[in-house]
Amino acid sequence: MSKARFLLFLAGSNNLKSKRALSNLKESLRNINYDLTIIDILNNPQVAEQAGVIATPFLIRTLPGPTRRFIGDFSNSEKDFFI
Amino acid sequence: MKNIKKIPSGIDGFDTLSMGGIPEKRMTLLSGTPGSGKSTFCVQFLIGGIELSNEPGVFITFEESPEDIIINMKDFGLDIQKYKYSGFWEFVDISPRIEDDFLVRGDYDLSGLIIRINDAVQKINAKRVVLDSIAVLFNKFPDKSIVRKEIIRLKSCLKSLSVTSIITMEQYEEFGKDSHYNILDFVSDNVILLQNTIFEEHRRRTIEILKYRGVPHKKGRESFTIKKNEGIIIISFERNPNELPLRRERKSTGYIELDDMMGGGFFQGSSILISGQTGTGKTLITLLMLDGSLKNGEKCIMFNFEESREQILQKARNWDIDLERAENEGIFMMSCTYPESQGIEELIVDMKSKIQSFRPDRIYIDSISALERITSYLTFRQSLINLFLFIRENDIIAIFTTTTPTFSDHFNKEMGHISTLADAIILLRYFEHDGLMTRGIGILKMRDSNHSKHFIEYTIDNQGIKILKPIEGRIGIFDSF
Repeated sequence: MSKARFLLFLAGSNNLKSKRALSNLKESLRNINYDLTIIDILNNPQVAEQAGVIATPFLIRTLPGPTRRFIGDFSNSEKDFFI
Repeated sequence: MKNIKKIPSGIDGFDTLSMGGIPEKRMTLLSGTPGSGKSTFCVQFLIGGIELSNEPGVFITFEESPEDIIINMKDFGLDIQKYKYSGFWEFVDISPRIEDDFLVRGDYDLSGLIIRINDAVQKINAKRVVLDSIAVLFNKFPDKSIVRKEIIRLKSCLKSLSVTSIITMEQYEEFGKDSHYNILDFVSDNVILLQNTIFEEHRRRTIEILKYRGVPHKKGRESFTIKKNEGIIIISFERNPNELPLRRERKSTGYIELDDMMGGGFFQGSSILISGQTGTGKTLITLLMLDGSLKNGEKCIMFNFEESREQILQKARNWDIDLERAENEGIFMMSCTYPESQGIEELIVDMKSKIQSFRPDRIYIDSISALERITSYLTFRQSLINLFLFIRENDIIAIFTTTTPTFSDHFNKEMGHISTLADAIILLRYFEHDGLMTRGIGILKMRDSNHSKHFIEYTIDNQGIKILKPIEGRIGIFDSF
């Protein structure tokens, strides 16, 4: 299977919700091959505007297509939820 | 108590209604049925800030795309693009996108929204913010308690930014029925309600301030209209025109024979009602006065709601009055409208703007009975008060005609109320006198002045109206006065 690609938008990287989302995501995807770009919208509000981010944590899967969007801290998520 | 400042709203008439404008650095909820003018109100509020106080504004749109808003507002003559280029206007676009579906798992908040708003406000140093319409968030996100919590957080964010904000909400049911939305009512210090309702068979737009926490405001609904090129205009009547002092200078009525009866003429800035039965010569007397006032060098406008331009020109020609020449000389304007073609609010606004641009000394309105047909009595009266006030403030003499519908009534109930607004009333009546039908003219009232108390007989012939002598002795049967 080709490499999966994810963009994760967080509102600050040190708060509990952001940390939880990141660790839950990594846990769910532990057995697959993926790229993850993390964007802190506190530092990049213009990116949030362009991507239309409203709720956070916000995840976009660009590969494999079609593009999918997810929100939440991804607690209790399995790999199948994202792929 | 803290002294709360109000800032100019940018909406014509709203600052009178609200006694100063929108409370500064607070959140105001603008609630209304679909199509009641909420978005237009918001756009005018931001433009008002830019134009009146040099304050930049942020428009957070949840339904329409920024492109659509820009296009729609062009219809009202509002050029948003211009303000965007000059850095006075910023959009935050929360409107639906094609790729908008998402899956939810676990806890989330609306930090994305709050960060974007914060960023836009700081980027242009905005002082005014509108959110139109925030209720969309309740449909977008499944967890209502999160949305409620985030709206409270958003409010404190706006507070820390020291901006004055308006949030809008669609109102489908009677106020307060839907519990999701109570949060908005709860977080807002101020609530304004816009409605577009059917009242006595006529559509009527109204605005009402339901709550202005700790700040004085006027109570009750006011009518408003949304006009091309001008946006929302509120028809507010803040005081009774009778309370404004009358000027003491008199002007000839325009028809010399009437001047004596009127104690010398009409007062500047007064409203005169000519009430008469069908066929008593109201239009003729109006034309004769018009002719005289034009010859005395007064600029005049005639608003006609019953006859076409051609009919009036022809009638005038029959009495050797050349209205077209007066028009060409720039001292006369004739406006013939079929009142059914628009609402009364729109009509009044239109009359006012014609008066403002032509600056007449005197206006003739033939007849206000035609206006009464197109609206409910309440709106009719409000609109007339508004017009009378405007006339008084602009120092114009206004002559209105009204048709008394039957032979037995001097005034029907409605006209009775209107008559209290007029400064002077001239009655034209049929009388039976010594077995003959005659016409009589009388002054029913003239505020602050002596005037003839007699009914005076007059005749109409090809020379015009001839005022004869007071009617003496017993007169009657048509008369119930």
